[in-house]
Amino acid sequence: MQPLLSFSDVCYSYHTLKGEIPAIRNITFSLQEQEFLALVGPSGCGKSTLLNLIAGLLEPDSGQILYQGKPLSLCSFSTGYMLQKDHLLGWRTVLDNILLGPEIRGVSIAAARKEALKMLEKYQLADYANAFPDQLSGGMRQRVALIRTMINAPGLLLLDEPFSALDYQTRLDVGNDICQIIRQEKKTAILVTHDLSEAISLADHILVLSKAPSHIAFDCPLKFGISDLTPLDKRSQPEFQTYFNILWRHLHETDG
Amino acid sequence: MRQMVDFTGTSQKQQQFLQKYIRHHRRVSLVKILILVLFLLQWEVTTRLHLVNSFIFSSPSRILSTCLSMIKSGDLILHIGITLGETLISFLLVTVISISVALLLWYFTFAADVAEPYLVVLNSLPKSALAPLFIVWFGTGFKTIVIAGISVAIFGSIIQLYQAFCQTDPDLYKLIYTLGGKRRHILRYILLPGSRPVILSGMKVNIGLCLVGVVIGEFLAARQGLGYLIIYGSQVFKLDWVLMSILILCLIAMGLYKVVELAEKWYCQRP
Repeated sequence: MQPLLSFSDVCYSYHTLKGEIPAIRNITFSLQEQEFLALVGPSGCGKSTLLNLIAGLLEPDSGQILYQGKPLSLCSFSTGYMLQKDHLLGWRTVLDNILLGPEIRGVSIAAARKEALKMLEKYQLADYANAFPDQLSGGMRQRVALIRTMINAPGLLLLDEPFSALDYQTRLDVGNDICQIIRQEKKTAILVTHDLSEAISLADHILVLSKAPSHIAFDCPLKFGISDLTPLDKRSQPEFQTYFNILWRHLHETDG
Repeated sequence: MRQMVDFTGTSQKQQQFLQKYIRHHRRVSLVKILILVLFLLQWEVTTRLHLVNSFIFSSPSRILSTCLSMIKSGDLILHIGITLGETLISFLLVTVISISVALLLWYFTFAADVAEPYLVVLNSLPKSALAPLFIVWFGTGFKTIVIAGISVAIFGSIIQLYQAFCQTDPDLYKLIYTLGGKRRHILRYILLPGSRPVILSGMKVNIGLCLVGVVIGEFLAARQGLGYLIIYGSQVFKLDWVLMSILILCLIAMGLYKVVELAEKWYCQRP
């Protein structure tokens, strides 16, 4: 089966006045449709650089990134990017924040509004359509940010530590909710995280990256005995601890 | 005291706290007013008792009677109207020009890097030094005065706004780009609405600076306005006019600030 996204020998360096800083080196991996991939690795190892390359915000120095078999630069697919902070605009209501993408792309606002209200209803946020972001809890804000991303029907979701600004309990709840939304909507996603437990509970497949200039130090597909488990359920499965130990060892090796 | 205090259903400790709060604010208001009243009173008394020369220092009652007679003749309203009009026009132009230039500098990084030292120098330059040049270039009258008013506020305002635009969180740029936007979308959806607090707080400073510039202009190049009245009054030793004009300028400065502040509150109110 043709992968949705594939990286082959991709390299990227940052250029500063102090010199060239290699960020990633010969990265090769592929991602199937509806797969949930997590990237873990030490701080500053280039995880976010990888997402920026996929989003088209950066161009690789060498190597190739293919989307459905075509070079990324020739594709008109859209990525949905969720960042550490929700970045909801404080001067726009929840509904207007969600409609930011359709407004920018110049598509029909009436249709997008209908779709947005449907999604708000589906994810228990209908009462807050006309509220301002500062009237929402951290978890609700992240869900709104996800709807803002999803309304543009992105071919691929890029999640750059989207839960790290939340407190632990909210983080587990929101992680659980967002993972289920992504599964329900049959989306393909790449999650960047520092949190190994989060990666194991949410993803189908984990790549451990080495220190910068990073390469893939360990490729770990995840398989749980029981299928269709929620992220919270996965945490209580015996496989969870096994994967944690394996990945922890690899992370330590790459860090050391 | 800015907000009403609600005592209903509060504990004794809470009531004590609220009473202390009210007492503090009442005292502050009382002392504020008392200082003004005492100052005016001692001014009036010392001039009446000839402890100070009322010809040089005038007195509150003389200022009041001058003010009333000038209002009757219509002169004072004309002078105030002219100074106010020039200040408002300068302020409007400063607001429009500084936002436009700061946006252009943000949009064209090359132009911003080139313009930076010039803006810094022009901002630091004492604008009163330029006023004689404005008279030579633009003649005496309205145009020169408005330009003097603009010159005092414009450069600082451009620098402040440009710096505020540059400090926008780069992740917001990323958000717009990943939603399919371009640089112009950042301008429309992030920069302009997001910089509203900075623009409004800058406007509060600029209205006062424009008044300063207009009065400088009127000192040198006017036949009407409060600045002219101050200079003319000092030349013919009508110090009642000078002090009256200064007091009116104080009131205008305070009034204009309050108007912009009210506009800010009204604009920031959510529907």
